[in-house]
Amino acid sequence: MASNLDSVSDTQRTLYPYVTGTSVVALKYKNGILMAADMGGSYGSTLRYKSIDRLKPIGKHSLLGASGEISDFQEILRYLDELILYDNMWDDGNSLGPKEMHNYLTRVMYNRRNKFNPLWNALVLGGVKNGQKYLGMVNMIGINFEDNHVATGLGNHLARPILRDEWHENLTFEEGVKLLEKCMRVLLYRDRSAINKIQVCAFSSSCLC
Amino acid sequence: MDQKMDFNAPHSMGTTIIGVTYNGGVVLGADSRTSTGVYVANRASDKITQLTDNVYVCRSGSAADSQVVSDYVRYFLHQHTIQLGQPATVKVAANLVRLLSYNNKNFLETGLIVGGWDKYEGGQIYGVPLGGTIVQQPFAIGEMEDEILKNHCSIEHCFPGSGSSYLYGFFDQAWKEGMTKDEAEDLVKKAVSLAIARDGASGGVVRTVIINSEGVTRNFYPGDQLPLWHEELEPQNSLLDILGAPEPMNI
Repeated sequence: MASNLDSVSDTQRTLYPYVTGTSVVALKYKNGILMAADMGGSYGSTLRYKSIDRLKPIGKHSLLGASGEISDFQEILRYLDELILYDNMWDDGNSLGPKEMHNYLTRVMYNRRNKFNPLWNALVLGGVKNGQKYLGMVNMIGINFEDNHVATGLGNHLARPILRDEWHENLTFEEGVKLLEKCMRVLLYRDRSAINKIQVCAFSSSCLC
Repeated sequence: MDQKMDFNAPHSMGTTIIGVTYNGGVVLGADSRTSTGVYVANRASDKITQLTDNVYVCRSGSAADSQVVSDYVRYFLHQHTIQLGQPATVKVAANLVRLLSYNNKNFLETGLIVGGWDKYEGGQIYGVPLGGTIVQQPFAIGEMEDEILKNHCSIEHCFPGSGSSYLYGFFDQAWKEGMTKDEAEDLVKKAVSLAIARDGASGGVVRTVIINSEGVTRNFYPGDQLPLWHEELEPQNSLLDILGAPEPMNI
């Protein structure tokens, strides 16, 4: 293609995203993690797909939410499938928790960035293992951190201020959902890539729903 | 116009392609125009290509890229069918298309709609747009949104906009669940002809392919068999045919 000035022998580089998902917002609540994202896949400025699942449970303990290029997210899910498979094959009673998953994803994202072939995503990884809640984020250049509430994309600018103000330890499920819905509403108003169909996932110490 | 006719511009199918599921199978539809810059290189192309007996793919974007991807997928599916001992599923075909599209995303410029029927899941449509995302949908419309293209095409061979953008509104209104085969084919015919009416990159005839448990049916609809839209006139062979009657002009 005209804009790809690299020689033919170069391995591929993702230069720009095609089908993208917008913000993901997540917070810790009393019993675990709450995560929300809309179900849209934008193709440039067109709101092209309106039923894309951007929140996926991984293994027994984690929830992965992604924004950015959907094809790269689908590829990450395949990597994780393999990871979980090998983990289960050990059959040793242990299973990868959210902290380990976050670390794995961070290494993958950062190493791809070093090869100038990033996975064009910002990922939110949350979960509960042995009663311990965990919520972290990693983006396409490998920046990663954990916090009580995280968001990607425009969510960082619009949702996090709301969360900084209104989040507290020991939110009930209802309070958490109300807070997330407030964030998603603001995003719908102010993010042009947002659509009005959202998915909310709760992960508590007792179950994944 | 001061635009040069660049005959060496890559063949691009501006294109309108559609895939629709109905109660019992799928209907795939496409226009038939392949352009080289502003020149129409082929006005009767067949953009609906067979992958297996029960799976077809609608091609859009670069003619070369979509043909070579289809050829590879057909080759792999052939071997897969032999090994499996039964017809390949639509899901497998779509995923093969996705693999090629995703792993060569920097080199390819093609958006595909894979549609077919298998005994496990019935009729299915999978969209594989630029970049290699795979999305199963009850109906899919073809690619080439100009904003995406602006990022990675030189001006010479890309057309701003393409048939599909004109159809989002139409489908949002006209699509419904559980259509019959005839309703679905009618919808596809209508939609492609609407896009042809407004999109310079789409034109020619409307081709449809219906795939269900009974097999595959190919249909061909030239312009005179399509409905007329706003500001379109009844087709006429020649002015001389109507010159007989002295009628005042109606604009």
